[in-house]
Amino acid sequence: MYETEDALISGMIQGEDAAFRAAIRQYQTSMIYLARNLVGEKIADEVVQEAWFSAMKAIERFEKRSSLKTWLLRIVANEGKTRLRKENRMTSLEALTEVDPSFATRFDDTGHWEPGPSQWDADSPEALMTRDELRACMDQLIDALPDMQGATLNLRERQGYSLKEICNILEISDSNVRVLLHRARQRLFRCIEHFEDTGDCCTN
Amino acid sequence: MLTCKDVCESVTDHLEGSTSFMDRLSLRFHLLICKHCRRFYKQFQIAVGVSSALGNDVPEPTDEEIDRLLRKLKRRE
Repeated sequence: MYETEDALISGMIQGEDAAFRAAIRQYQTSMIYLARNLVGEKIADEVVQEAWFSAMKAIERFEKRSSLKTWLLRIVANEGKTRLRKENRMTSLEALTEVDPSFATRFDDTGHWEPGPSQWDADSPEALMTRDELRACMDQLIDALPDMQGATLNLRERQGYSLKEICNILEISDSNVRVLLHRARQRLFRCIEHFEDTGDCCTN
Repeated sequence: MLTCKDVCESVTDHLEGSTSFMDRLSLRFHLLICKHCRRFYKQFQIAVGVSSALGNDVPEPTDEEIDRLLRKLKRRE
């Protein structure tokens, strides 16, 4: 029915139910993912509903400087961050260092590995993903990542956004995005390493 | 001279292509002489490779769920 994004946006501006239905169908899943990363599963639906309401009111002023999806995700991020601030749950981005605490003790005074990383049995992502226990463990880890780390990882790896687009959606600096992504990846690395070493799921 | 800690800190920048020619050269040289970092770099890429398939799946909204959401939104208008 709406063959182009412009047509969909025009329909939304006209207040056509069919346009909102189409937009919800197309973008709801990505919006829920982002909200879950930011505020957790329990209130993600509520935050996304709030975001749709804001989008309904603001669609007339949408200037199409980004895609509709990016604009909607930005609204979700805003709603999510407002909620986190209200509940005093927002993780501070100040003093965010490049090395995750889980790596801090891995180097000696001269910056060399001590001990070195262990050799994994799996030699490809596909080989790792065949292990259900590890997969479940990593799903848990992703759900437990701090708000902005989880959101950055999801937007980059799962939704394929560039670092610049992520800055725009989360309204944070380029260096913060890079550090958040790096920290999240280090956590995943440590989790896989721990599993390979012990057969147990990581607890941090 | 690059240390192993430097490699650990900059691996995402390298994978995202946001490093200079000289940074890439230093990394290549370090990887040539350091087996720990070679292993780390390779396994880090594997970890990045799996992360796109992770996270609990959210199902697509059904027609009923879409209608319900739309009704709620319109009531609030």
